[in-house]
Amino acid sequence: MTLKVMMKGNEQILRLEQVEKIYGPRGAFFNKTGKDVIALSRISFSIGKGEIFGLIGESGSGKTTTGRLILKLEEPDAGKIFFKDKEVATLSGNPLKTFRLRVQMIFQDPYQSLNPQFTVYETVSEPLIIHRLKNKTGRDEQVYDAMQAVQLSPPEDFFSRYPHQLSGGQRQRVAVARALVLHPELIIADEPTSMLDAPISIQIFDILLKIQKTFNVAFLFISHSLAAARYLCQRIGVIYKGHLVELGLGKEVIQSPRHPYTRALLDALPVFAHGKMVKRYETLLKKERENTRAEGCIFYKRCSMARVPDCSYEQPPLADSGSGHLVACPYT
Amino acid sequence: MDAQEKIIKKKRLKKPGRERRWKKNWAIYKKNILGRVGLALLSFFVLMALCSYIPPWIDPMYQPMSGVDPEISKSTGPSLRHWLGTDFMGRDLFSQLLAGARVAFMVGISSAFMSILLGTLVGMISGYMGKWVDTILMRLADIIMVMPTLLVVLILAALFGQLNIWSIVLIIALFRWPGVSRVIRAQTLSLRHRPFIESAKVSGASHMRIIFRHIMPNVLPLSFLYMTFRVTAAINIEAALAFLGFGDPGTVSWGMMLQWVWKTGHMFKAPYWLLPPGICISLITLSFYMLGRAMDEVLDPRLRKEGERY
Repeated sequence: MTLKVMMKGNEQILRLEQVEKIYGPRGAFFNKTGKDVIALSRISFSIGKGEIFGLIGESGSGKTTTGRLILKLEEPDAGKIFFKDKEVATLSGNPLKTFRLRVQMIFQDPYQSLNPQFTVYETVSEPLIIHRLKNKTGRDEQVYDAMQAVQLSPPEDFFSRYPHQLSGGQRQRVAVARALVLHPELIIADEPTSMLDAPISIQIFDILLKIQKTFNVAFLFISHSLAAARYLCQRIGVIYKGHLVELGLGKEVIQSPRHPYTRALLDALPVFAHGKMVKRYETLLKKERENTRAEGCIFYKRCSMARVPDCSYEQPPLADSGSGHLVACPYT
Repeated sequence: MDAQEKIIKKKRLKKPGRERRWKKNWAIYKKNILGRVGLALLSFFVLMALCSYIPPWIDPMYQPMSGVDPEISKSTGPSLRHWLGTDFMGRDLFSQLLAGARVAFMVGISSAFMSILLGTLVGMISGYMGKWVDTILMRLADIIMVMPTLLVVLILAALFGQLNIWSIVLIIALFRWPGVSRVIRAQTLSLRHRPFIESAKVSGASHMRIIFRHIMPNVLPLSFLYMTFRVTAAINIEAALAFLGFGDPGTVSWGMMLQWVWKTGHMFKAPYWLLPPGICISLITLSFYMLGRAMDEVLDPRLRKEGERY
């Protein structure tokens, strides 16, 4: 399968090709029978320079794994990940350090992702120290600027505070500042607002958008929320059980979803304006369908649009359904 | 941003330097009652240890080991000449007690420090590296942990004759690290997959940096807590050894004093001889424990009271 990349004449910064990750029986957390769990199955997509790409899926769909693979926190079992035409898996030593300079991550839980022993200043300045960038005054300036970019002001009021003295939103902004201080080209944001309440989330989103504009950083925005993705992302990929099922421009994916799973996700969003829940697509089966085969479409069991037994034979590949909107379902 | 603004900005850039941090930590420590009492007790013992050099300098008969009062040849009670009295052959008990403090510090701190150093290092490396490194180090720790320290030291003493005090210190240290390393390893394991460690990794931190900069500060409170236990344990083991007659015969320790009381049959006849070393052993143990508790609070910001900022 060749993947058409739709970029507005833009240079791509990250490319995943047929990436696969399988957890063996040793990771016995979610698998007691000793069977392999396929966390990611032949995922391919790419992110352009300065683009915000949203990866949407439910818990356990493999979206976090994707982020960890890109950052080389884990190794893929098959497939290749390219960062600016260099394969990530082959990096080690100095090239790896340079790679770490360019790609940063914002973690899900700001209560866990900051070292409790470090002051805010130490946390934000650490990447600069690791990469031996600038002298002390230069570092101070850069930390100051990063803190201002995430609207923690005045920054010097926060420098000597510890994480336990900050609110959740402030912590996450410190984490964003830490990711930003190296001026990376790609930031992986792994559900950065799932631990925060709605108004704070909007603040964080606005900060991310502003950062993207001023520093021209690309984002991989990992989330379970279509609404958040719509708000932030130029393009959206929808992932279900390790399979990318739909990929297209943010606007198109939300306004005219093609894959039954994406439609089910949209149905799950409450619509308050009508006073009651309005389901527009009804693609989710009330009762799961039996599937005697191991193969077949991954959404077959829960899909109301599925054709029995055609859909239970093989997983349909991602195919262009017009204007670069890719869908892994031949029947929409 | 114009130049003036930049200057103002620079002036306001303040962050805790090393001195400020020490001052701040001291401020936290001072607020802790346990810490203050422990420190007071400890300084009292330090003073004792320092003063141990004074009596022999006043009069050679106050030599704790070899000085004998020429007019006394049996144990006598407290007097002006001998503040705590004398032992069975006329040696001054007060100067012995002072010398005992010196020995207790030497034995306790040096052996606890060595075992903590070893235990923390082994624990962190074992927990962080995992896999076969972990297996080998932990099996080694198991083997050493199941050996009864006192018994092994007794056997060694029987094999090599009288042990000198530094050998005793070293042996105690070598037998006492596995407990520490187990605790530190467990703590490291729980830290290893915490996002802030991964965040450091993503920032490009090396293994060394992660171990010493991120994991170590988070396990140090535990190490210090265990150091206080180890000081206690080391002093107790040394006292037990000495009391059983396997101590360094060239050193006057509190355990040695107790052994002399026992051996010469003064156990219940001379409380002025029996009680001071016993009380000293208990109090020095207590003071180290209190010290550890207070230090714990300094090292772990989460233990501090809410709303306090430094």
